[in-house]
Amino acid sequence: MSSQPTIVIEARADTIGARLRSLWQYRAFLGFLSKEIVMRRARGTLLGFWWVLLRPLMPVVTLIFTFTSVKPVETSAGVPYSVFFLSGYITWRIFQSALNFLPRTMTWTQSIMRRAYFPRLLVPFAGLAPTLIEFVLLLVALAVVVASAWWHDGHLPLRVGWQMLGLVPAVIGALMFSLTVGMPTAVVALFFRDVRYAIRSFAGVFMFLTPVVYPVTFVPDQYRWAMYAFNPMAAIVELSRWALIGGQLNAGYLALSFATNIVLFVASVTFFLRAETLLGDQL
Amino acid sequence: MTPTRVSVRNVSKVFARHKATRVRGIATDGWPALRDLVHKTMRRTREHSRDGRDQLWALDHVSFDVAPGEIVGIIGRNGAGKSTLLKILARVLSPTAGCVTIHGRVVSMLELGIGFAPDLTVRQNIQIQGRLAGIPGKRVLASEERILELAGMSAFRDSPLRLCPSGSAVQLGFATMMGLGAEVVLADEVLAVGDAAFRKMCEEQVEAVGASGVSVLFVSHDMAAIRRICSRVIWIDRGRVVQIGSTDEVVEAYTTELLAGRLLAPLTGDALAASCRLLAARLLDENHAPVGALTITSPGYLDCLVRVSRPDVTALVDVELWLDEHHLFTATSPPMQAAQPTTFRTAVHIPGDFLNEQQYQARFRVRALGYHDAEGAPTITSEERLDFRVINVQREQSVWNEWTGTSKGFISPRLTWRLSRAQ
Repeated sequence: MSSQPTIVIEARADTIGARLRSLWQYRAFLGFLSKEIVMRRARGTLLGFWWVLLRPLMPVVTLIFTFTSVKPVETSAGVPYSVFFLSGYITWRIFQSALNFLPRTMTWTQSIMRRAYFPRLLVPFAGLAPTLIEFVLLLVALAVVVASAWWHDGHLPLRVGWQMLGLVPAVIGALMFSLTVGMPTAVVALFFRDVRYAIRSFAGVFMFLTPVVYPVTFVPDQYRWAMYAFNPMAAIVELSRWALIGGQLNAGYLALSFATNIVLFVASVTFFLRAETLLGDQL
Repeated sequence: MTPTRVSVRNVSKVFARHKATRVRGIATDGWPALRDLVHKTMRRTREHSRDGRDQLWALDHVSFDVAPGEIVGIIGRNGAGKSTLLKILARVLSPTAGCVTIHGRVVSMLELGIGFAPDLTVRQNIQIQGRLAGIPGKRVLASEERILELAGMSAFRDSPLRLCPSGSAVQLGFATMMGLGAEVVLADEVLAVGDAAFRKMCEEQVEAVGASGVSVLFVSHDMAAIRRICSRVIWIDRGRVVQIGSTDEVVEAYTTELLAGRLLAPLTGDALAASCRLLAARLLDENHAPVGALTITSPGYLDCLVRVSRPDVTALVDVELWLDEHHLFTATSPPMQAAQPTTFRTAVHIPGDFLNEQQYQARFRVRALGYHDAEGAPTITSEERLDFRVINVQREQSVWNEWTGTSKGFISPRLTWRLSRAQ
């Protein structure tokens, strides 16, 4: 007989370390959950998977049209607005889309959670799957816009170089902040459905408090610190823009933003892990 | 090999019953429930105090052991805590107190219904179940053929589960559970579905895996099945273990109690300050003694007390009989009216050889004649629901003389047949 694991189930919650170990044991399950969540989106819709394409592209087209043709926005020289906008929007969209999905993932996977044990923390992580798909699509959109600008203006609107690696911490930062906000929201959404609607409207408003559609120079100097201090997404969007098209980057603000981000993320994961064993009663 | 496979020690589970508050006219227990969750999350320990809050002790210091190869049946009334126990063993719920030790891998089938992942193929579903039990992918692949064969779904192996014939999700779930080679199997009312052939297959499989050293814990209301396959039975009532012992002994005691009506919940009158209200609803046997179950052959009564306190109100009782989501029939009482406030007793006769071996629900609804709500539906002044079982004590009494002891269908009336040779 092969080795038999011994499972001990006790009233007191497992240590955080034990929880993270079981997360690793069940890692293969992440793929299944991600797939389930992505499919869940498409189920019962007419356009099915095409929504993955449509949803992020609709605001892109609208916003680019508005701020180039209706009310043109000045950007740094040599960079067309569409490239400027997308260079920040791709990272912003991670946050916005995650806030759209994460509160719903718990309800989507409820029937699975009622039937079997697996670390519940996998659910919000798997909930990032549709967001990552959208991110890849937006990267493709960016490539298309860049290529057309290149062909039109005769020079490449991107800054090619090592700085582009800055996109990696920007994406990681955006994913972390998404989980930071998304995990407690997902828990609360099990009690109140309102959260799902509220958080989506909140994300829409929040975008205009973040330098996504406009350059950060639009914000008066004396208020800029507040934007960075209270909004970790501001520095993340700026970092992503700097990585792709260049410009100034305030290292101090960036460090502040990432520090807040990490502290909040740890707090959020801890809350989720503690709430995890209690969630069963609510499902 | 260890002498015990599953060891349950003093396991308790308390559900906090939150009082629903009304927020903008909508009743919700969201706020108190959420407050409770945040409170418990913030505190370092999750000890439970027996303070004044409204609590439901779904399990109250339950202890037992299961040896390898044992097939243990768990019986008890609805809401006795059987499913909660299985869910704790499967780690879907965490216990409030106590400790469970399981030596080996666990597969479970807790809630029936739509399949696990309807969009994935049959084979992927098997893989997922295996992963959840912690069985390596290679071993799952090795047992795949056997599982598909058991479920009778070899032809559907690569089609999504939702496109497979209805009922196949359950069959697949069961076959996976049996075929994966885990050491502990938890099954909640698996035998309640499927046709006779499927159930027979289930029972044979349970016996076969039991013989090979797998421990099976299963919850069922089907006493005939329990008697056939279990080596030991645990009877739980209101969260406590009433009796653990040999199958015949415990099942005997349980059915005796059920028939004696001692397991009935205390009758609660409806506190509606209405002109006509239901005071009590009971199930009586043919001698007018309150019982908790009827036998398939003997008649009984669905009996109720109705208080009519105004002379200008005429009360009627509708007794609806339900089986799961199916409304079988409605019987309406004669009108009740009196000059002085009066308590009426009215009962509808349920003939013997009429109901099937099933779990029924009788819904007693009192309404005042001539009163309607805005939509024109009669105003129900009070309502009571009464769950009761119809059981088959002796197999020979059954209208059906096949192996199963249980026939299919909502009712099983004794019908007459005529047989003659055609000219």
